Amino acid sequence: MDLLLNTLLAIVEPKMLFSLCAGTLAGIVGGAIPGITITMTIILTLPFTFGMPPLQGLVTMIGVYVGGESGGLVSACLIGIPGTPSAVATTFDGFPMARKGEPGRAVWLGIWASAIGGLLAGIPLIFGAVQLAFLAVNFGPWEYFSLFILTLSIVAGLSEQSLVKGLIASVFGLLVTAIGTDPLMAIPRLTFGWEFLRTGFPFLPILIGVFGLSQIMGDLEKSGSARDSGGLRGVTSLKVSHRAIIREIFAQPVNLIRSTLIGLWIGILPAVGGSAANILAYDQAKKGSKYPEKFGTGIPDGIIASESSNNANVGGSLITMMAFGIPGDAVTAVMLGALIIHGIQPGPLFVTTNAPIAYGMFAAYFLAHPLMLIIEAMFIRFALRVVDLRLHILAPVVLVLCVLGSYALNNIIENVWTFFIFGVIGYLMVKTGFPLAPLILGVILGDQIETNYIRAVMTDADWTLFFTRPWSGIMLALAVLSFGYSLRQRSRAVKRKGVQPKEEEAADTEF
Amino acid sequence: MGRDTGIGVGLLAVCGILYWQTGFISIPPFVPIGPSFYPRVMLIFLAGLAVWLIGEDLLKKRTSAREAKKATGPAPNYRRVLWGFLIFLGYVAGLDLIGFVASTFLFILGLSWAIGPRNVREIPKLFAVAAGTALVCYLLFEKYLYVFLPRGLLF
Repeated sequence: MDLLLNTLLAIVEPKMLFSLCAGTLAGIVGGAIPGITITMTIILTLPFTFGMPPLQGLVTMIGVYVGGESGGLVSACLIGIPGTPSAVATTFDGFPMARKGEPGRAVWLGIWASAIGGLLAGIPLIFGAVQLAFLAVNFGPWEYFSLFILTLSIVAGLSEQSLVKGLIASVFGLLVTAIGTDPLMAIPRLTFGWEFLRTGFPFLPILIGVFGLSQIMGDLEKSGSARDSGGLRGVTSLKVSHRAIIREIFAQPVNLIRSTLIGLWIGILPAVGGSAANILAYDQAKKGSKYPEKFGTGIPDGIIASESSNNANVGGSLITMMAFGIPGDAVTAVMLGALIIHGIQPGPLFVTTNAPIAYGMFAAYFLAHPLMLIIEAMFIRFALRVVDLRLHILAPVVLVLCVLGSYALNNIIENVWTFFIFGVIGYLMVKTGFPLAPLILGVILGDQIETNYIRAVMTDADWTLFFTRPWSGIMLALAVLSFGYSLRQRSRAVKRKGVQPKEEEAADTEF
Repeated sequence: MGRDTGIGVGLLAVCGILYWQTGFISIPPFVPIGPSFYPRVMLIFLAGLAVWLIGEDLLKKRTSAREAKKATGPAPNYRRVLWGFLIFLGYVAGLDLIGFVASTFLFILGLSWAIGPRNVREIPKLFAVAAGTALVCYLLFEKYLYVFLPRGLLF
């Protein structure tokens, strides 16, 4: 607790505070613009953090993450288009409430619910991450190998359209890491004599390409989209009684806590993200409500459920990232990349060996929420104008910033080509129904899986240890169960529908 | 042949080529697992999954094209996407050729025009956005963050 208070004092230093404010503002603005997700915003922030000390860079990113989760609700409530996928469910009641003449109430219910849900999730973040990290310190290579396999099986199984496509995306990601020198003996593999590939494909340009370029291209194909049609034009004031809004939120303690816990849990699961959390929380709020028929007509319950869950999801994602070095979603994947760039090895030792940075992240997480409230109170009118930006202006500027983010990693043009190639691959994957999250997770975990497998076998040639060591065995059993569960769910779904839709029609730009 | 079958066949071909390439990886003596082990395992997995994908595609029932179309709404504008990729490809190629500032200016102008409403009255605005973005990025990254942006014939 002392360490947390000390780092909190360090965070309120002007330089850090400025970074946190700038990150939070960038997150709110990025989140508010439909088509610019939090992942994209954090990617755009990345080059600015290269020159910063590690903690300052991470503090900026946490600001973006927290601000972005809340920013998405502005456009969801005011123009009926969620600014980010994690604000989809906010649209269901936020927009109808705004159309009924209460845009301020809709927006501020969301903002306050975001802040409260996020702060509640901060408590398990601190204690959960530290405890899990202590547990993981005792892990050997067998346990790590099994943990990464479990993670991949969960993520591949969660892909909505096809289990085999999720698995192919995972293995493709793992294969990408096999290109370049091998992690133990530094012998070049599959480089085709190209010098650039000797060090393998850099992770961040892959991530930026897969999520950034493919998303922009996905937006381009929606010509004449709903975005051009607009929503509540002419809204100039969002004034409300904040006391009444807070009272309204605390009048629903069950909804608030249940949604926060859902967000937290979804965040802990690797690569699921806030987009699932808000819809699940909304669904549970509706099922648990005494008046489910009113959901979708502009009632506060739906907004509170959706927004408290998506900010709690941030806390959950950070737990997985800080305790195991596994990203909870694409945003934490970028944060992991930033840690590696600064020479910090993420994983269970991160919390103990880099305690000032870890606790600094906790402190920044807590501080970002009240800051988010202040910034949104100051800039909400500006956000009203930002949501009106047109795609043909926005897309080229965003792509330039993506190029800069890839190039600035180590000032070589090959990184930009990597960004382009993986952008094309990402777009084609989305169009053919392959999920992107397993690919990214495969790229992140590939080296770790190989290294831990070889370490395990070199330590003891007995391969049964993967099954007989308790934690390792449990995790492999869970991986098999997760895989079996996914297969069963799919076969049930197919039986229910009778036919499988052709994915080329079903596949929109989903991530 | 369905689309997924095509993808599966393509993946099998890629796996075959890469597996053949793993034969050229030098293997140091006295190591229980050589550097070619991991890529080979992954390639075998990927090939197996490709076969699964082909099998799944061949076995699944399909909806009629009309039904599928009904479910999706407006058709995607692939022309804009193609323009987007081509202009972006030109931009990346141009970075080394004519430099960051000039290529960024031309890229923003070109892409905004190609995907925008193509209204002549918009041109001054597009010019301002293109010039402003190129200059702000140049000043911010070169002068403040000390990132040496690509140079070329023009700048």
